[in-house]
Amino acid sequence: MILIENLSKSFRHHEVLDNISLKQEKAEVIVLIGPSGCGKTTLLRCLNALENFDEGKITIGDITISAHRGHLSREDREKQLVLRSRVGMVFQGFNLFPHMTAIENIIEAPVTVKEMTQSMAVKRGLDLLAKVGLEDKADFYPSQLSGGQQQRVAIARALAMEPEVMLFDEPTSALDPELKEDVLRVMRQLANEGMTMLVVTHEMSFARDMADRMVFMEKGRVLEEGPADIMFRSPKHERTREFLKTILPKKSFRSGNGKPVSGRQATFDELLNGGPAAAGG
Amino acid sequence: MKDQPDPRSWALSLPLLLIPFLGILPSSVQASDSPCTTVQEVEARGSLRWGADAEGGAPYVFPDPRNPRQFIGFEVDLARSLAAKLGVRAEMVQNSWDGLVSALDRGSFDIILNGLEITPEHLGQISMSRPYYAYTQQIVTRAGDGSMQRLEDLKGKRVGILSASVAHRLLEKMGGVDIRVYPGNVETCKDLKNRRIDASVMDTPIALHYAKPDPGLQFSGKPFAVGYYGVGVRKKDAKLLEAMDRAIVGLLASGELRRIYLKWGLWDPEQEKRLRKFTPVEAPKEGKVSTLREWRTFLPMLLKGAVVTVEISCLSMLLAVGLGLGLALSRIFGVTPLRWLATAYIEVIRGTPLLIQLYMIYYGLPNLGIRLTSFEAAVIGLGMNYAAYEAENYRAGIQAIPEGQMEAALSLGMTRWQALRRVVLPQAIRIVIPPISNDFIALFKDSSLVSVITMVELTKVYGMLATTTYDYMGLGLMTAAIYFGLSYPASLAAKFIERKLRYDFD
Repeated sequence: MILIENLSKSFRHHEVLDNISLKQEKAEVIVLIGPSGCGKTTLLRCLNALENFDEGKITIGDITISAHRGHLSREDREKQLVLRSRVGMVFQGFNLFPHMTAIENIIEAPVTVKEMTQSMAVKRGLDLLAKVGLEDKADFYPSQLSGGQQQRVAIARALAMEPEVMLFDEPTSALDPELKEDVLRVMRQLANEGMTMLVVTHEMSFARDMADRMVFMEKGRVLEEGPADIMFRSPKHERTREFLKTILPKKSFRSGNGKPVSGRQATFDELLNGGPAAAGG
Repeated sequence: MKDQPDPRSWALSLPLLLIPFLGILPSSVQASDSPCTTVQEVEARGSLRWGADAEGGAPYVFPDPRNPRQFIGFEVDLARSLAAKLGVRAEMVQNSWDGLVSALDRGSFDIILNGLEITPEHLGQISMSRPYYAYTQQIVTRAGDGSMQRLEDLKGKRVGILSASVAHRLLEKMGGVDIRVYPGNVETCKDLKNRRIDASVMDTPIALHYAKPDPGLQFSGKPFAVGYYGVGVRKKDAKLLEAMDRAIVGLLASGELRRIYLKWGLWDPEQEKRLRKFTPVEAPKEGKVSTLREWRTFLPMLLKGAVVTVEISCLSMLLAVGLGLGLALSRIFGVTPLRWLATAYIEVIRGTPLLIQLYMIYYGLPNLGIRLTSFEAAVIGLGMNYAAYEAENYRAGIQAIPEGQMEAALSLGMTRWQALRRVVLPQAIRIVIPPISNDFIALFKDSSLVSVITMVELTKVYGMLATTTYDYMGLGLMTAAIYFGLSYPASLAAKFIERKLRYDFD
């Protein structure tokens, strides 16, 4: 479904992506983790052609875009537009259009890009709103919605283009803890329906439950990848272990007498054995 | 035109200036019973200060083309001779022609010597000496065009005249003429040759100086409507008036006047006869015209000008808003050469005066074969000028929209243009409405500048009426009320639109 071959990109002399190769099957859910600045967001933006890359090749479905020394052929440039309409993107900051209601946000692209009729787009848009649990918010403006509701509208907006792949760039990190769960529930549902998803997140409970594979990136490279439980239990690299430690929730369980135990971190096992949902980093 | 005195040097010299006054305090109290006359002041000062407008041009008073810091002209020579008769030197004070009479009253100078006609209107305001020059009116046409020999032949024609001139009054009285009001004589001759007008009616000194040497123009018909230029003096300065009359008679008798006029090509055999034959003009019985009391006459004239102002403002703003958007988009999103062009346009237009742009568009472009009517030139000039400012407003508005909006739209498969049109611009418009409506009000008032390219709009009508009635205050109140009555609803409308565009998302 997604094939990344020898992808490289640098800003000035700083190598952001250093010869990355990754393959993702259809309906596979990959969770991408790594310290900030490791290049995971840039990788997502390259996959959605919001960012150009210098070297390498990206294939999504039947579209292949390749670059050499920072140059794309004119043909590939035109393909970027098609690529974007087949890849859905959910941003950390939601990026809803503030001058449009929820339903208007959702039907905008189907109507302008796919030239779908208004009535058809609205009908499907309402279905999508129902799917993310917001059927009663169709005529609300983004400012009238909570962060969690806005992000769910944003997911519905991306789904309205019927993408083959969904990219999530830290979709819950701008949300209060109590609002994250609504968004994560929608994401779980999507994964269960067989959506191909590439997710950058610190939500380890989501990774534990849904990820077919986890990828750990550092300094623009893929350092380690594998099934979530294996990476949690026995990471190959010390760096991976250290990083996982930092993003695991603190004090998210209770001791035997019901009193919270403070100052101790959850262990990988506790997380994997179904401890309370990680609140994330 | 003149160097402004440095305010600091004023402050320094102020105490020094006071010292002599302290010394003469007792005597000055005494003197208040018999205030010293202007003649005495002139003698004490050693100079006769005469007011004139060098922008009025040749052959009266104008900058010497070979040494533009020095003024020359037949009135410069005349002033020197008049002052010499008083035993003092002449000192010119630059003042706009329209404001000469008011400035004399304020005491800016001692006399007016600048082609001021001896008319009842002027005599209602000031005293005027015997004439120093008898002028006539001359019809000027393009060379070879003999169709207009008499004033009546000008009916239905486009005729250029100077604002508030005798010709202006004559043509208006006759009616049926498409009158075009010009700021200067050079422009009139230029437009006559450019075929924007069919004829001009000029005072003979102007015609002799500008039109006669020009092979493209000719005098048509005989001169008519004799009039007289006199020296303007304040009403209370009877002594000075007497002195001026004596001086003029002396100069005429000694042949010095003849010598000056011959030098400037203004002499004709009739001149001396006419000057001797002059019968004094009666001053009108009533002093000032109260335009406020007679608003029924004046308001409709002002409103006619206001219609032109509104037309020009609205059309040029439309152009500015459209062109400005194109410029802003080119500057932000355009390919490199387009971006540079847009940036250069904005910076150059914003960095040069609108007045010069208007002159270049109207009087300069015909040299390149582009002949616009004054209305077209006004709309294009104002529109192109304001487009630069609107472009910067748009740019600020567009750049205030977070990058994430564009990215979200692109990620949904929209093209850059679709994203701009559907997502970024609708949000940016809301931000730019207040500065744009603000600019519209500014443009509305800036539109008065187009009077230099012969558009008779509200401010021009005000100026023309004020220079004939001298009721700057009454007419000013009416004119200001019209401007305010038009711009205030515009700003209310802008506020309304702004509120309408404010979505529930704020």
